[in-house]
Amino acid sequence: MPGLRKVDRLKKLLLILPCDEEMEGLLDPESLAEEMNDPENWVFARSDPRLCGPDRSDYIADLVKETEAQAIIVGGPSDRTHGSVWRQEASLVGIPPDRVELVPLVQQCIYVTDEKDAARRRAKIMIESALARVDTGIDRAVERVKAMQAVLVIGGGVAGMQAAWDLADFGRQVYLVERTGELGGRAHQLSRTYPTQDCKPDGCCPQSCRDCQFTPRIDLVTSHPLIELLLESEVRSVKGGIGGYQIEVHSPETSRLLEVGAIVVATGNVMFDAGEMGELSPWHPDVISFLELEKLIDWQRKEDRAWEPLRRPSDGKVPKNIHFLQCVGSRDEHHGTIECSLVCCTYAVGQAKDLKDMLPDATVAIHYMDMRGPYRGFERHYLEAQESGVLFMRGRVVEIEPDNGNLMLSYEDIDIGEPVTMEADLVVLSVGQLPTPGTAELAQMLGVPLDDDGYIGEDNTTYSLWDRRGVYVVGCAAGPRGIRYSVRDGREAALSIDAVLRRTQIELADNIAEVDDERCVGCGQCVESCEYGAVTLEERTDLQTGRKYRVAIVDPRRCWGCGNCHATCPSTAIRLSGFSDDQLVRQVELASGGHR
Amino acid sequence: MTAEERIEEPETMDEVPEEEKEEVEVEAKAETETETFEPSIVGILCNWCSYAGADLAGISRIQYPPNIRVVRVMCSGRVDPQLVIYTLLEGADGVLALGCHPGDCHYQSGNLEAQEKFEALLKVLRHTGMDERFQYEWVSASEGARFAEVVRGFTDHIRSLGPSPVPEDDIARFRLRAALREVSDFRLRWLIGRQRNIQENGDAYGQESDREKWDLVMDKVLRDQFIRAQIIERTLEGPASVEDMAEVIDADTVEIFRHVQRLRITGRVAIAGHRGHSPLYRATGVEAE
Ligand SMILES: Cc1cc2nc3c(=O)[nH]c(=O)nc-3n(C[C@H](O)[C@H](O)[C@H](O)COP(=O)(O)OP(=O)(O)OC[C@H]3O[C@@H](n4cnc5c(N)ncnc54)[C@H](O)[C@@H]3O)c2cc1C
Ligand code: SF4
Ligand code: SF4
Repeated sequence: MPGLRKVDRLKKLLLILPCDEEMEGLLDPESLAEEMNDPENWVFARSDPRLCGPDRSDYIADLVKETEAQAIIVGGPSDRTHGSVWRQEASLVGIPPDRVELVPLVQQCIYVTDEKDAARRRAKIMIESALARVDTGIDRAVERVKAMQAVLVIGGGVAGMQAAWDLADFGRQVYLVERTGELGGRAHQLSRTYPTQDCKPDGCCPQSCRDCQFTPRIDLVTSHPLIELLLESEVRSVKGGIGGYQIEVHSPETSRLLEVGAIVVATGNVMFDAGEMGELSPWHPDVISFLELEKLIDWQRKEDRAWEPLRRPSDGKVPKNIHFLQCVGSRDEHHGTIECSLVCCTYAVGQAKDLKDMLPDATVAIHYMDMRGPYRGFERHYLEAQESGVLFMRGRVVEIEPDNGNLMLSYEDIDIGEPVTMEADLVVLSVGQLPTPGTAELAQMLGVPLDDDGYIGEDNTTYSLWDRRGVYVVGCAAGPRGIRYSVRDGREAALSIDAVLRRTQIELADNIAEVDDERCVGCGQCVESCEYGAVTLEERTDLQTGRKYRVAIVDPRRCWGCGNCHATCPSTAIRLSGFSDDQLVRQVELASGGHR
Repeated sequence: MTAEERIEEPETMDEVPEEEKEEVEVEAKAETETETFEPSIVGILCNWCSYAGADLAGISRIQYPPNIRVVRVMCSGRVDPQLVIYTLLEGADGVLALGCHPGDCHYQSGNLEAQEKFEALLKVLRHTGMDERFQYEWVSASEGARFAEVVRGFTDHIRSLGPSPVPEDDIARFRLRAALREVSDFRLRWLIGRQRNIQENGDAYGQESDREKWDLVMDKVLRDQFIRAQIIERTLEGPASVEDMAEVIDADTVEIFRHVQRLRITGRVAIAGHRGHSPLYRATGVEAE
């Protein structure tokens, strides 16, 4: 099979980490290493405190030199937690990632049983299995792809703008695709931002938001010669992979095909629609959400009524009883999301304080479960709000009933432990945040997985050496976060992308499916079994007979290495490296030889 | 049957009345004396959910029988029915395949693909009498306790079944070999691969097919294929008459004969001679697995 070479047998360095106390007691790593050491069969086992100390890399380099090891097996941590750490360590001594095996003695051996013999037996079996895995592995020829240098940014909020700005600043061509007709996203809609409340709105500031020291400027992004802005546009299809994506973008008048090397997803998120929570009377004009409050403030500002007090929507009266309800559709198992939206406490505390300052005679209260302000500066901001007279009441409001032109709130006060009712004339719902509609479709197009809560998984923000996707998720597209963090995400992605594309040749070394042309009959089962569109059928012509036939080909940039195609292919023609039949068969053989 | 149903909570000694205690203790002792059987159990775990669940069980210090030997795959979708049968042929007393809960697959739907394969595999194994020795379950990364419980339940279950018949019993090995041949067959693999797609999108004519109907078809196909695989296995051992075959194959001579005829037409068995009036057959163009 071209590109594949069956590994004969490798010199294996087995490192058993002695750092865990319990491991020390139950397994005695040193004697275990002694027992496993078998130079004749190319197993060089060591257990040494230096493996867990500051000179680890030097020590390992020496060992590799001494033993001429071609593979490293680490006994102790799990691949899930420490795989990348050890693969990086191995790369320092020139050992490729697919020749590194981790044996989770800590997680899957020493705590499973406290019987010494059983633990020892189990440890040995686990280690043997790992040794067999590297010996039966398939050496992949390292695949290299050429990197296109332009970058696509999807979404023009603060995160996307920052990424676009930085990438353009590095001299890259950037396409910035924004669904709406203007840049700025959510932050641009906020009259004030907290806890870093800077200037008061004056309408002519070119900043994208009031967090001005931190955010990219809309005018500069718009006028940058290397940023091509595509407003009212959307991505329709995505082909290719890291280093060479072909993206179809629809704009009002035109449709274009862009060629880029990497993609930044900065599509933000949306707010929960409280409409489904009938018990809170969300239809009532005086029960409003954050964004409606912003509209009231905006109205006041635009009409040059800056010095007039805020008025409530239903009848234009100045409200005397303003209540904020936290966690509506967030941290809730039945509505919205069970996750915290991170910014609403900070934001509500700020708005409440500003309202109190504006209407000193009014009651301004916040009903909350816990105050969560994961930002530096929040605590002071919170104290200030308390001092200015904002009331903080712990408990979840269960019902809002319209009552004689006003609103009755019923809730259980956690601090006094009793049900309470209370009158309000304006209620602001701090609604939760949910993934932007269309996220799943976008993820499907890009071939990246979603997390449990429907956001694009943050483990794709692989700002790492092993980046194989070239897809970077930044800002609220990866879950709720504050402005500064969204901006920083954009900046980080720009730096990583620049570093990856700068290499001009990208190495793809990981578990990738490969097709054995000789065995493939072109049935297409693998095409259907692949969730990532990594497999396609290619039509070829037999040069001798002139007969046309089809054969599967895998785009290594799109393959995620799940192996589904491998187990599905009726003629076992497509195989996943790193989890080949040879490897698994050897492992189950070892595992089946019973205790008997 | 799920693992939970299998686990019977052992009565603690505190609940046993004083006078019965002695008796129970004697019984318990007798039991431990006969119960030296430690099954070998192969667990094939997906990286993202069940393997992480196993890690968590360890970190949370939840003990479970150390009999399970773990083989890691990235996704349960990689678990080929061939591999499971091969493992049983190698003498494992039980095989446990674990994946992410439906909807939680790291690779979107690898576990659903796996489920189709496992359901078909269970049907195949039913013909071999080994279906009780394979089980699949969903365990998430946060379910350390559940991982331990599933492993405990399965290990107990295998203990109660006793050792695998494979090392001693020729017939058991014969049937498993035939099953392995069966699930290696192109057409059957193709059918299993289509299963989910047909369920979801209807067949090629856009007809919706319901699960029950599909299952009936599959049952029939699997039974036929199993008999044919056994015929091939038997004739690989040496020339055999239909009567010889009926000794090891769980089907009557008429049915076997019908399949032998099919296999002759497709060139997979041929007449090798006669014993009295009965023709003897041998396999052609196939290799031992
Ligand atoms: C009510 C509220 C109050 C807040 N208050 C504060 C605060 O006080 N302090 C603070 O630090 N943070 C606050 N935040 C958080 C802050 O708004 C966000 O961190 C920040 O706006 C996120 O920026 P972003 O670029 O990631 O996303 P967004 O600003 O949401 O931008 C996303 C952009 O992508 C576009 N888009 C979406 N889908 C597509 C698509 N498929 N194709 C093309 N374009 C698309 C959208 O139109 C939008 O322009 C608050 C958030 C809310 C909701
Ligand atoms: S499933 Fe196998 S035989 Fe069919 S096209 Fe894919 S690789 Fe080829
Ligand atoms: S291993 Fe998974 S992602 Fe890769 S081609 Fe096969 S099915 Fe697709």
